[in-house]
Amino acid sequence: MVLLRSFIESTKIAWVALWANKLRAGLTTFGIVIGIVSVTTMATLIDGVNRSFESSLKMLGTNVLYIQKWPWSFGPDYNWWDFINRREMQVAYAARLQELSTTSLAVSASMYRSDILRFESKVVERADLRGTTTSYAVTGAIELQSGRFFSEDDYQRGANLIVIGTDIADALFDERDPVGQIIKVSGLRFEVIGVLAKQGKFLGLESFDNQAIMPASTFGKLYGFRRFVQLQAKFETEDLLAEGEYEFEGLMRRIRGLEPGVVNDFSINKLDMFRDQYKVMTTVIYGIGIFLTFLSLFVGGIGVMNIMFVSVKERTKEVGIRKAIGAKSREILWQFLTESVVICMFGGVIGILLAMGTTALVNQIFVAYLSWNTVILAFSICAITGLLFGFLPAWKAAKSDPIESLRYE
Amino acid sequence: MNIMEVLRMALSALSANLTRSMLTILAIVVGVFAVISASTAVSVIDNYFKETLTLFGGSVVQVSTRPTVQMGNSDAYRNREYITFDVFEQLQQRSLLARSMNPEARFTWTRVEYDGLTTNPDVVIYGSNEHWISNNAYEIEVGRDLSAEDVINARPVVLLGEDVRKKLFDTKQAVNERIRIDGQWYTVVGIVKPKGSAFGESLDKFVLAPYSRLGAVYGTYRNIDIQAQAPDMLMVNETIDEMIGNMRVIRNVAPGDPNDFEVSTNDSLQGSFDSVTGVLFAFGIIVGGVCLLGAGIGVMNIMLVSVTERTREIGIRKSIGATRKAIVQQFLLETIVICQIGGLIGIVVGVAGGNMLAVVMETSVVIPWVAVFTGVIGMTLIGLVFGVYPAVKASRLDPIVSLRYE
Repeated sequence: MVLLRSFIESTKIAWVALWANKLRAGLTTFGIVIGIVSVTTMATLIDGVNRSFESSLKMLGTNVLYIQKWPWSFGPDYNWWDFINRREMQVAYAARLQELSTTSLAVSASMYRSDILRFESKVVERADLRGTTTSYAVTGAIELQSGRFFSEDDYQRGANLIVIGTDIADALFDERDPVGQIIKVSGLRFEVIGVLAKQGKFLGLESFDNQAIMPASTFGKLYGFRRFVQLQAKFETEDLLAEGEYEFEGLMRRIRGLEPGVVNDFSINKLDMFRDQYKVMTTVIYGIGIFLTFLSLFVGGIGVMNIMFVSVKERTKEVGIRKAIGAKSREILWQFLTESVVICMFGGVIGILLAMGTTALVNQIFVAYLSWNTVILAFSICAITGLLFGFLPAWKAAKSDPIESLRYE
Repeated sequence: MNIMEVLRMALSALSANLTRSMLTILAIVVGVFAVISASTAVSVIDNYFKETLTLFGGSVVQVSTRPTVQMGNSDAYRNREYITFDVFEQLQQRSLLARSMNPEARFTWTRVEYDGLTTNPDVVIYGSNEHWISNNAYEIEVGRDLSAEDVINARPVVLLGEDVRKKLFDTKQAVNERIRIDGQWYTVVGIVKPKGSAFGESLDKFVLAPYSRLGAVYGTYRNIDIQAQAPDMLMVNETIDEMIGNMRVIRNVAPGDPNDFEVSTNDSLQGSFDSVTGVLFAFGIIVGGVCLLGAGIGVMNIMLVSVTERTREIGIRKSIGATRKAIVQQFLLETIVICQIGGLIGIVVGVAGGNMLAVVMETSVVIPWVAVFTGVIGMTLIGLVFGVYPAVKASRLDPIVSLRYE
């Protein structure tokens, strides 16, 4: 209670003192505002980039393992000759794995190539064509905008059915309803049975709406079964995924008939590898950005410290009188500290308001996101700046000798 | 008033409040550091690109179906007709300006074997003629270059890049030894001086042999690059024009149609990253500039305090006859001195800081003279801009009021 009252009291004194030197206080605050705006804007930029990365990863589906011939490696020691002679994956593995696995929700196989799609006179030059098993609807996190995905029955008879992405639907059908229309894929007639929900771009680069999915059985008839076969398994939770990684390694070794001691001739990939790689890449860039922007906050802080020194010097007499009538050193310390924190917090409020503006501005050309965490962080940084840079001047005032101070002209 | 005297006054005023001056200077140092280190770092990156992209000799022009540095979609190039050895021979006959012309064909990526030792299967086997080494800015370390006779007679001779030599021969003599590539025997006639690596890819992991020989082994129908020298640096553009004209004739490109090949030189390669470094540079300057703005405001603030504190001094000087101009001069110079001291330290620290990147990237150290000079002039300007208001305020003080000021 006493503490609170003394806090309110010192805030009041601080406010009066600042008001007495409006221009000076204003300029000092401006320095802090500049620092906080740049730090906050940088933080929103980083947040924005991270968020769009995460949402891009979500598009690929969460809790999914990919079982492939090739590992997703990005390092410099990537020796392709270690992997080139591995056996290809087979579509039939999917059903086997599904049958044997206890942890996974579904296992699917998919094949990939790009080809031309035609409808009447319209053409899509490079559609990402995918041949999948029925369970891809689960593992690929397929959402449909209209129509349906192919059924087990369609798969078994190798029907000429196709599900298309929104970009393809737009390019081929404009305003018309694509479902039920017949398009041509390498000369064969395919019925469009569904349109995928719009997914957007992956990391702003590769569009996911340019894909077309058909049963793997049909795909195999067209292009053969040996083309980039990839198995993917979907799990309910992250824990199950961690467990599933080991289960699938075991199951794959069993299917492949590998003797104990023989090295795996397949790779189990997961999206975390992407995330790790992304972190390595971005940490340095973020570090430099944050460092540079913190410099401007540091400059603002030095301004505060300087002005507080002046303020302490000017009020030497006041400090002397307060001490003479019984103020404790601690109270003097708090008085000046409060003053510098008030300046910084005031600067922080204005800074965050301005940062909202810059965030909106940056969003016009790039991604930025102002989260509550950033706001709270910015305020704490302001308070800490005030304490840190206000401490030395306040300490000087607190330690001053009242007799000397009173004599000061 | 004498300028030296003003300077002396400014310095003594600054040393009277040492803590304050030091803090202000520190702020300026940090601000200048931000700008200078950012721009130095960008020049280091720029320099790195320039160094690693000096792939060709000085006045070399290269013709290929795809751009050497390719960004974005490659659809536009993939249906282009191959540039074959026939095209090379025709171009060679037609050219008047372009000289020392050589084809460059990557025949395969494979293993190279010698005496039970084998490299990884990622050695590039280049087929070319006697001009390849000089046109690609390589040099012979030991032995000899390919000769015209080697090419005419399709001799089974090779030059080895440093990586291959090291793997197969290490400390042994390599020249005149016989190595095996894809079951064929070749005699080593020379070793090529190492060039290091670019973008993490070694430039010394190759074998060079006469294209006529490799063509006989692997087949001649393949897409190649053609490299040629301009007569001198000043004739590069004329040579490019001539090569474009001849290529269009050879490949039957109708008038008005765009070229179905790409022409590149060292300059065009180095220019291809300009947009990236431009963005980085702009970002660095904005962030650093904001920091410097903060520092400038700090200077202005402290000058205002200084004016207030020295009200009496100003009053006395005015009453004994100092003009307004003299007072403005005094305070402006004081500001500029602070900014210059801070600026110089900031420039030195900033150049050092930015060059840390050069150490990390293992490229040569850069001193961005332009940034340094702009820094010095810029700090004078900043001193002027942020010093003007306090100085004018000081000069406007009424001597009577000032003298009465407590």
